[in-house]
This record gives sequence, structure tokens and C-alpha cells, in this order.
Amino acid sequence: MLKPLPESQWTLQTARHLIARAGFDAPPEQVESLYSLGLTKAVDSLIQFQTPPPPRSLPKCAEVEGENQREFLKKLKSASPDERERLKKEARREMILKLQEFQGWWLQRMIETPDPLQEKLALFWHGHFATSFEKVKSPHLMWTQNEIFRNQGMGKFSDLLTSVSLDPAMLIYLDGNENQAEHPNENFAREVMELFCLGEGHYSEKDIQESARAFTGWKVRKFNGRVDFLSSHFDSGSKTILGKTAPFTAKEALQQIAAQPACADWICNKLWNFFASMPDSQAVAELSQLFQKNGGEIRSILKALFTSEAFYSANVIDHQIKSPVHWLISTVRLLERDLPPPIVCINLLTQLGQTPLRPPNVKGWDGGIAWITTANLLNRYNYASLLVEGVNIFKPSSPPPTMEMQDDSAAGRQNKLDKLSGRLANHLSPVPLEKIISAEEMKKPDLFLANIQKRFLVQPLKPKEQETLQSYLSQQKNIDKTTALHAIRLLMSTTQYQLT
Amino acid sequence: MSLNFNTRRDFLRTTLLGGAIGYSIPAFLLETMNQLQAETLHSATAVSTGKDAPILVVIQLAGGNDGLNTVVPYTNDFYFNARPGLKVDPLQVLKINDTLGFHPNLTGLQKLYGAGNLALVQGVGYPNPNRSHFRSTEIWHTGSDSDRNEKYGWIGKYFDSCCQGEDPTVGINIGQQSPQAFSAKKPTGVSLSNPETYRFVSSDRDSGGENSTESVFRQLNQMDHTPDNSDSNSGQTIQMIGGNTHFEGSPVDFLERTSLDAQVSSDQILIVARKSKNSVDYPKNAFANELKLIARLIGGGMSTRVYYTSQGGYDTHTNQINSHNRLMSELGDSLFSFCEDLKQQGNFGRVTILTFSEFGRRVAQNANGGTDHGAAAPLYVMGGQVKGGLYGKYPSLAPQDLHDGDLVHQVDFREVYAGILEKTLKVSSNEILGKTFTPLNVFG
Repeated sequence: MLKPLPESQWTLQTARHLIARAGFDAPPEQVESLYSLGLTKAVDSLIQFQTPPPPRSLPKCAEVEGENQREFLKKLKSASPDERERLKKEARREMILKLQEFQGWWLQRMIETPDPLQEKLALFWHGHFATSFEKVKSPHLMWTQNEIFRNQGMGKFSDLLTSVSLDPAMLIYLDGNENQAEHPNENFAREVMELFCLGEGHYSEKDIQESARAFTGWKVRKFNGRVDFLSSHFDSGSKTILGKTAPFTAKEALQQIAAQPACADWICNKLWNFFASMPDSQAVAELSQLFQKNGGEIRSILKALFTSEAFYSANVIDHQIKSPVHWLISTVRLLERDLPPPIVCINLLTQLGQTPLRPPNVKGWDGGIAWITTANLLNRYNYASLLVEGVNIFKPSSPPPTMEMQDDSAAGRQNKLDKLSGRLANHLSPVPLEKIISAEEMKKPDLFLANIQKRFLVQPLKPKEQETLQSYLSQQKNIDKTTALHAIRLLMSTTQYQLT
Repeated sequence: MSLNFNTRRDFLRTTLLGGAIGYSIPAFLLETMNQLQAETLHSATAVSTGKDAPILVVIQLAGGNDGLNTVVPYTNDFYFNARPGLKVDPLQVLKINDTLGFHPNLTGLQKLYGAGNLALVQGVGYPNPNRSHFRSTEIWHTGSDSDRNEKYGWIGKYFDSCCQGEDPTVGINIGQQSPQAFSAKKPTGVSLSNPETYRFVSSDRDSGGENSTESVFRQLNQMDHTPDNSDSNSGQTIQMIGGNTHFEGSPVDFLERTSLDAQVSSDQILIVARKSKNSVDYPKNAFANELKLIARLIGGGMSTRVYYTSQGGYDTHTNQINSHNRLMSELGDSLFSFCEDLKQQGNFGRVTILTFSEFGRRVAQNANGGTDHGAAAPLYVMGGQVKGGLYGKYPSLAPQDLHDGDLVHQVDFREVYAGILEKTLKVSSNEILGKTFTPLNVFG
């Protein structure tokens, strides 16, 4: 069992660390109220979601599209070629708009949810079971998968695995939909072992071939996205998977895979990496034991993780590179400003290297140092200017060359996105400064500097850097609004601000 | 903000030499220095950089270029039958031989072909072609089999195995998003669409001056007081760099290093891009602008090994003729100017240009005056080292030879990659592609 953090070490700093990692960071007042709960209650407040869940609005794509689609196809059949093209174009536009609305909905939810860990964990599972709209091509099916992450993310891993695997988005993304007894498709079978459960070296090619047969027969219905099991397409023969021989069904095969000790190691290692970041094989080994003892219940793993001394060690705190989503959401929360329009956020996140619902491939995002390249580090510095000052630095350089055509290639899409997002970003307002800085602090550079360091950084700047900012702030008698905004942007344009 | 060191290593060397005199060397810097040297030693191949090193320029025709209307089989009845409304007039094609001709607007490429600078590789594709833009682009970028999901790009794998310790500008992508081809275990390479925004963009109108945000930014990020003449061993630099000691591989260490790289490279790119001039006229379009920038960076002496850019708009499902005509002239004319520019610079001899598209298009036109996603298509390799001519074999258009209505590939694109890896980048193609392909030799 992991050694818990002694209550004596529960401080404002450790409380801040908890909310930064288990959620999306918080302004000082919220950190203080979390701190006042004490360690155990603070962790409980994060891992026990509100019951019953408070009402929430849903994105448009939460509705099933079935009947509309059937009608749409009817219309399409009777239309002239030109008309048909117009209809298709319109449908595609509508679909992209729905996806954008959903992406914006999720980001907004991360900001205002009473259960930030629920969304942070959903983001983790989304990266783990990486599935992209690029191939699924239905906002609704991406939504149903997203809800699985939200609603079952804390439960038993094997249940989550089963739900995600037999859900339309995954069946489409890894070709389960094409997997029939006569022509087995091994795409899903391979990734479920290599990426979702075991990691390389813990299975053989034979295990992949055999389990692919167990996953046959599942079919996504085109219109309503319902999944049917067609026994005629299922290979009911005997299979040998990871040392056990039986006429495995898909669910049984998934149980067999999830029951491997290697699966406990794999999942606990990924959870540790995501929430704590710095490698700690001892901590992972102990979490893995707990995983095996508790039937893979994620809530108890996270409880142990968030209360452990190891999670609060000096080389864990402030040693994680913020993911782009975390960077955006925490920045908006700390600035106490509105989230920019969805399309601006999506463009920003794409530039920074993490577009929700469009992970780069089935392996998800690498995270860690892979978030940072020279190009997107500079992008972070410049997007700080957008969020703080409302200044749009990325003016689209030239009009997209392909407007008259449907161009759903990545380049074509990026062109359109740049243009639209550039237009919207031009109307963004600066941060409501009075919300985060008092009149007193606007008069005193040292108080101002202390405030923004406490709010935006985990550890204060080095003395030399403090001096630099202090002298920048001391140019005039009172700090004017522009100088104040510039100083905040400058604070965010440091390597320190990229860490949490 | 003057700057005289050209590479990260120059910078470190200068500051180390300068700093050693009066200050103790910060541990992070020393570690970085040691690591750089170790990485350089570990590289599979010693990479030569500088004025005479070979350069690869990769260009994606994004969206799926219609290969049949690019290199037209102008005597083939199957072609005319399949393309009643979209066929290119046989009298207008720019003849390559008795059966094939360039699209009439590809005069630029015809000239390069005539000069022996262009290798035309016919029928390029891969087994079990995928018709999704997303997936097929991924396959081309990673060089994977179509039924495998590979994470790292073929260029990224080259960076990983040959370019560790090099400046991040060893790869430059012109565009906002880094292509998956650059994706590497140790991310390197930079993406920029405009040198003016690939840098810390100042918050105030008039940048410069001691109290500008840019100057404060440099101080905050320990980059102020950079040496101001070429022989600067002035000791003051080092104190600005002083940072905490971090253990090796810590994200903090990595961030500081990347931040340093970002500033050195952005200063360098901006200076080169502003100073260096194009010596020929280019057509006026977005793609030509990107090539202009690449030519300036090459001419200005960047030690970059691989440039990457794309020309979008090829997804011609509807009313293809006008848009494809325009794309063809933009492509041909821009590439011709680019090659001329490089020739005038004296750099053409060390540059190899590769164009590709994620797939060609369906043989038969669709009901909307366009074409849908297809499979195999021709690609070009150009450059001073290239032995011009036809390579591969034009795929048969006979209905019985098509696969689901698509052309069947004659050359695997990884054979083209293998040739370029071996001949241009001078690296074992097995190691990069993870599999053995017979290199297609289009070089003299």
C-alpha cells in the first residue's frame, strides 16, 4: 500500500498541486477552500462525483441523428446531380459545426464543472482509447463514446474496456465493423493488446490472430448508430488467448485480456504518467497490486494515488509539462476570463498540438516533453497575448486558395480554420483585470508581482527574473492597465508557466 | 538584438568560453553541452551541415491529385471512355513520348523534364490502398504498411537516427501544423508559416527599446546581452543564462533547452529571411510564396536538411476542370521558378525535391464533373543530382486491370523513399523504413 502523505505536509502548495493535476488548476480562493478540507476530504471531494449529477446542457450532437439521416438519403436519391452536391456540402458543413459545438461544449465543461476530475479523467481515457472523428465521421458517435469515458471512467477497468470496445466509435475506428468470421480483421485485436491493455512483449502474434476471431460479428447500423451482434458473422470456434482455450466471445476475450497482471501494470503506469508524470516504479508497482486486489476499480487507484506521499514529492510537484488542453483551460480559469469561441479554441489547440476528438493516431498523444517544440513553445507565448490582451497575433497570411471546392484534406481544413478563427479572434476582449488585481496592487509593483506569481506559477520566479519584471512594472507611478496586461503575458511567456 | 552565432552549439560555445573566465558554468548548460556532444557521437551517420550538404524538399499535393489528368495517357481509349467530360485534349498535352503528355498547364515541369532535371515516377502507391485522406496521408508520412499504425514519420525517424544534437532547424515545415512525417521520438524540426510570427511577437506597437515587452521577454528568458560582435568572448552572457541545476532528462531542463533553441532559431530564421532575396520572379499564389521562403532560407545558408510544405486544394470531387487547371499551372510555374532560383544561387546541385499526393483519383469521373478518391498516381523527383526521365510503368487502364475502379500501383512509394534516403540523405533505408525496399535510383 502506498504511504499516504502526512497531514503535516498538507499545505496550500500541496493543495494547489492536487487541484492542478486532478483538475485544471484553480484561482487562489479555490485552492484555499480545498486546503481547508484537509487532505482526506479534499481528495474525497474530487473523486466522489456529485450525486445526483447537477443538471447540465448537452451539445446538439447528443441527439440521435437516425431519422434525419434516413430522410436526407431519400432527398438525396431524388435530387438532381447539382442539387445532390449542394445537399451533401450542406450536410458536411452541418456535421463540422456540430463537432465544433461539441468540442467547445467539452472545453466549457472542463472550466465550470463541479467535478473537474471527471473531465480530466475523460481526457485521459480519450487519449488512452484514442479514437478520431477523422475516421468515425459522426459527432454523435464521438459523443456517445465521450459519455462512456465520463460515466464509467471511475469504475472497473474491464467494464470500461468492454463498453468502449463494443461502442460504435471504436468499432468504426479500428475496423471491428469489418471484422467477420470469413475475413478476420486484426486491427482492433492488435491495438487492444499493444495499446489499451498490455503493452508490447506481453502477447504473441498468435494471441492477436485468435482474439481477432473472438471479436467478429459486431456491426454498426448505419442510421441510428446502434450496434448489432450478428451471430452468422461470428466465429464461434475454440480460440486460445493468452494461455486459455475456450470458444471465447468478444466480452470473454476482453475479460481474459483485462485479467492479466500485465494489464494492471500497464494501466497503473499510464495513470501515474498522466497524473504524476515523473517515473516512479515503486509507486506504480503498489498501485498495480491494488488494481489486482480491487478488480481494477479506477476510483480506488486514484484515491491511493492522490493521497500518496510519492505524488507530492519534490520532483513531482511543478515537474509536469502542461498539455495544450490543460494550458488553455487552466489559463482561462486563472485569468477568470470567458473561454474564447469554440473555433478559436480549436485552432489554438491545433497549433499547440492537441485537438480534442482528433487525436493524431490510435496511439493518442505522447505527452510530456513531446508537447514542446520550438514552434509550439513560441505559439504558447504568442497565444498568451491573445488570452490576456485580446490581441490576435496570428493574422491569416493569405486567403485560402480552395474556397470554391470542397476540400476536406487536412490542409484545406486548416486554411478555413485559420481564416475563421482569425476573424473571430480579432474581436476577443482583454482579461477583466479588476477581477484578479486589486486597486491597491495596481499601485504597488511588489504586491502586483506577488499576486500574479502566486496565481499563475507554482514556484516563484528566480530573483533575477523577479527584478526584471519588477523594474518593468515600476516605469510609472501607478501601473496602468496596458502595462499590467503585458506583465501577465510576459509571466506566461516563460518556461516556468509551461509547468504545473 | 544582434546575433552572430549561427547555431545552438556556436551559442553555447561562445557563452561557455566567455563564461568560463569570470563565472562558474551553470550545471544545466554544461549538461546540455555534454549531451549535445554525446548525441552527436551517437548519431548513426555523421551529418554534414553547412554550405555543401544535400537538402531534401518534400511537397505534398494535399487532397489527392488526379494523376491521370496530370500525366495524361493521351492515346488510350480507356482514358477517353472513362473521362467523357474531364479528358484533357490530346492536341494540347505537352508530349513526353508517343503515349504520355503533361497537363497543358504544366509547362514549368515540361521545361524541367526537358532539361533532364525531373524524374517522373509512374504508378506510385502501396498495397491495399486506403481511400481516406487522413489514413492515406498517415501511411505516406510514416511509410507504414496500410494495415499497421505507425507513430513516427519517415523524416522523423531520419532525424532520430542521424540528426541528434543538430539544431532544431534541421527540419523546417512551412505551415502551421507539423506534418506527421516529422514526428519523432525526440521531437525536432520547426513549423512556421511566417518568419514574422515564428518568434515572440511583441505586445506593444513599437518593439525595441529597453522597456519593450520583447526586451523584457529576452531578459526573462535569459537571452539578453547576446554577443554583439563576431568575436565576442565577453563574459557577461553567462550570468544571464544561469539557471537552476536540473537532473538530466527533467522536463524543466528540456523546456529551457527548447526555449533557447526557439529563440536562437527564430532570430536566425528572421534574419536570414529578411536578408536573403529571391533572384527570380515567382507566380503570385500561396504555394509559390512558400517556395520563395524556402529558397530564401536555403540561399541564406540555413543548415536545414529537410524542408516540407504542401499545396492544398486537390480534393476535386466537383467541377474539377477549372480548379485542376489552376492548380496545375500554380504547381508547374512555382516549381520552375523555385528551381531557377536555386540554380542562380548555385544550390540546385544539392537540392532534391519530392512531390507526392496521398492518393490519385478514381479512373472514371463521377456525376458531378469531378473525381473521387482513388489509388496509384505519378510523382516527381527533381534536382541537380536527379537523372531525368521516366521511371516505373504506367498502370493499365483496362477495366479488368483496375482494382475497385482504381489504378494498381507499379512502384511502392517506399522504394522512392529508400532511393532518396540512400542517395540524398546518405542513410541506410532499412533502418529508417524498418523493412527492406529496393531503392529506386533516380539519381545519376
